[in-house]
Parts: sequence; structure tokens; C-alpha cells
Amino acid sequence: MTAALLPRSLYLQRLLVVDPTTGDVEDAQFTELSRFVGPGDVLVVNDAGTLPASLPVRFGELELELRLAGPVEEGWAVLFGEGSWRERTEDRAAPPRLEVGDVLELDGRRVPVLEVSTTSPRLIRVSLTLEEVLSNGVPVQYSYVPRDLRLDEVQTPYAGRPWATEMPSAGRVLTPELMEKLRAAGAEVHALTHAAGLSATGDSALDAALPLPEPYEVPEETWAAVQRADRVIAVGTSVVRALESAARGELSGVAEMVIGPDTELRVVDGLLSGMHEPGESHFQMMAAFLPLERLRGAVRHAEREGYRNHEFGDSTLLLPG
Amino acid sequence: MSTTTPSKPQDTRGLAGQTVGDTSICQVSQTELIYRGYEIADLAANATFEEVAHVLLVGHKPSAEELAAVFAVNLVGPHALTRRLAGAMALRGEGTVVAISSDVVDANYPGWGAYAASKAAHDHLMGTLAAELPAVRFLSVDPGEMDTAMHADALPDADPSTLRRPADVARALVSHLASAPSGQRSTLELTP
Repeated sequence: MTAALLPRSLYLQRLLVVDPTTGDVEDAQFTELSRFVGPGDVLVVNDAGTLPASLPVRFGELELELRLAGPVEEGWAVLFGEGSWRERTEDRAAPPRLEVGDVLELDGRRVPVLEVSTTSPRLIRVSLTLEEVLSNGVPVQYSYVPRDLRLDEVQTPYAGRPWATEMPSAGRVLTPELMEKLRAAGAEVHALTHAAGLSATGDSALDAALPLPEPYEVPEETWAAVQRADRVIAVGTSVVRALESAARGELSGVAEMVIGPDTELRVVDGLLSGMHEPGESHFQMMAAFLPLERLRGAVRHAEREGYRNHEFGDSTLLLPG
Repeated sequence: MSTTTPSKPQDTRGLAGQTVGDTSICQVSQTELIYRGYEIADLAANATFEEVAHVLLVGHKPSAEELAAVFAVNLVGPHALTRRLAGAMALRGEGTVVAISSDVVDANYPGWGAYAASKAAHDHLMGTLAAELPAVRFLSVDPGEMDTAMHADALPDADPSTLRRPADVARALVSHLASAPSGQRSTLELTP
């Protein structure tokens, strides 16, 4: 599949509608989303704002990149070696191996390493303030995008608390006007907040452990709407993770579970997401909604029809009839 | 204005040798004649008649950069911030955005063009947002003439006792919000 290289307008966004029970597909436009929902449907979005999670740090003479792996208050971050986002993460120089007590420098301030993860020595814990991140950070960049992304380009239209380190991109073009249309069609739209983390690090040990545990908060009101809904449609894989974690534990907590083909979904019925291909963790999560063979069929259709993938790509709606 | 007579005039042509004085509009020294900070020769060579008139009346040269700066502060910034927040409000189905407008929108006061145009444009965008997002209230409120530094700069001769105190306006604004109409400009009533 071809990547969408830049943030595109809502009016270019295509929507592939897949019926998980039959595998039937329909080609549509994202602006037509309200056509597929009605009374009894509850859409749940992740309203986390995207942090400027990429921070320029120094270690001695080395100029490195520190990428937050979760909310600022948690302090976990992944260290990247010299070079920039223009190189693919897997091609970048390895960062030095840091130990507890080593000191990084951010804008002249000392940032000591407080903890080193057992998963990978590149995953470290530091103490930063939100203000330091907002004044020094830039959004996580992608090597396939031809220019620097601005912070406002990686926000959903309804972004609130800055908690995500990469954009919860399924709702990127879900504008307030479109939300009004969904409500006019009889559907409800509710929010939760989930600290969507890094999508890839280029470090095989770390990537195998993704997604890392991520904090989430489901408001009582949203949970009540989910309970009375005929169909719960998650806008984004992070919402599936939050709601299914809430169904197995507390309304607010840390999502540890990784959803895949063998996961029995307890609350979520449908998913609005991007275009995902075999091998990606998001593809694995989609496989919880329909048999792998049907999912592969839908991906083949999308490739044939020229759908675009990655952060600014087209959308898939998995929706049982 | 202070006037002194030089003790030993050497040349009496023009203003040479005369220390005429120093006012908010004009400064004369031994070698320079400066209007509003601009050398007279500079104004003569580089400014149009209208610009010189503006310099004398208002105090500085109007420029495209200044117009853009007024729009950046009064329109572009507030609108970008409003758009950024309005989505989260629309998602929750409630929220109120208040813009401080002005009665200059309705009239044409000399020297107030950029300010008035920026406020009128912002009122218009608030009205459009109100039409687009009915769940959120977009209010433009004219607070009346207030005793502020901006007012003193613009109209130094105004009697401050005839102007509203910002603290009173702020209190009245809070109670005005509940009843103010969304999508249109309202004028703040101040009950003594």
C-alpha cells in the first residue's frame, strides 16, 4: 500500500467499510461516515492531545533525541542515537548505553537517568515538567514525510489533555461538523483519554514489546453510554485497548493487555481505524474483530483500489451489520 | 515648551542656533528637526502626504506590517486558539467562548481602522462558528469604554471618571454570559 505523505484534508479521506461477519467491503468517503451509523450506536473517541514528544538532548559531546514513551509525569522515554528523523529509525546510529546516574542535558538543564528498563537499555526514566516538554519538544517525526510536521498537524480536532506521544490518528479528520452529523443520525459520541504511545522505535527488543503499558481514563458517563449501547464503535485502536481494559478492571488504570486474533472482545463491536497491513500491531488488533482470512481479503481490496496508509492515510470501518 | 535665547547667535538663518524646544510632536536641536521621531529630510524624501499627516495626528507611520500585527493579535491568534478548543467543547456538547468586542465595529472613527476591522472580522468568525457548532456558545461582548492604558493612549483627554472600571466590567461580564446570545455581538449593561 502507498503511504499518504502529508496531512490531507477531510475531503480526500476515503473510508473502506468492512462487514466482519461476511467480509463484504464497500468503498466510501469519510464524510459519509454518518450514513453507516444510527440510533443505538455509541462512538467512543480518544481525546488525548499529542505532546511534542521529541526532545533534543546532549550527552557529553553527543547530540541525541529523547522521545517520550508515555505521559510526561510517568517519565519513560526512548533514547535515539545521533542523526535525525530523516533517517528511518532502524537505520540510525545506536545511542550510548546509559546507566542510572548518567546525566543528559536539555536546554542547559541537567536531566539525570533515574531508571533503565529491563526490556531495553534505550528505555529510560527521567523527570521532566510539562513546561520543559512544551518549550523544547517537537512532534515525533516520520521519515516518509517530506517535511517537519507542526504540532497542530498531529492533533485531532477534539484534542484535550496532552497525554499521547503520537497522534491517535483514527480521529484525525473527525471534525466537530462531522460529529454533529453523527449525532443528527441518532448515534452518540463520547470520549475517553488514553495515553497512546510510540508506534515504532527501530529497536527490535522494544518494538516486540509494543504497545507498552499505557494509562487510560474512562469517564463514568462514557462507560454508562457504552453499557446501554447496541453497538460500541471504537475510534482508534487505543480506544479498544482502553475499553477492553476497563471491562476487565477499573475505569481508570494502566492498560497492559495486548489485543490480537485470540482476544475475546467484551464491549467493543466495531472499529474505525487507519489502513493496516499484516505485520503491524494494529493489524493484529483488527484481527480480534474478524477472521484473519477476511481481514487479508479487505487489505487486498484496499491495495487494488489505491487506498493510502500510515498516519495521514485512509480509514477502515469494521462494523458488524 | 521652553524657549531660550542663545547668548551669542552666529547665524540667524532659519532655525539654526535656536533651541526651540521639545514636544511630543516635534524636537528641534542645533542640527536636527524631528517630527514624531522622524528626521524632516527623511519624511520629505520617503513619506507620502497622507503618511506625514498620519505621523503628525497619530504619532507613527501606518504600515502593512502594523496592520498585519494588529490582525495577528486580535484575529488570527484568538481564532486559532478558539478552533483548537471548540472541537473538545463540541465533543462534550457544551462550552462557551467569549470574545471581547468593541463598539468601533459599528462606526468609522479616524485612526481606528485596523483595530475596528480586526474586531469586526473576529465577530464575524465567532458568528460563523456559532452557526457551525450549535452545541457551543460563541459570544462577542462589547464591554463599553473602559479606563485602560489603551484608552488613555488613544484618547488622553478623556475624563477617567466617565469610563467603566475594568473590575466592574469583569464582574458584570460573568453575569452577562448566561443570557448573552450566541453568534451575535451584545453590549454589556452595567448597573451601578
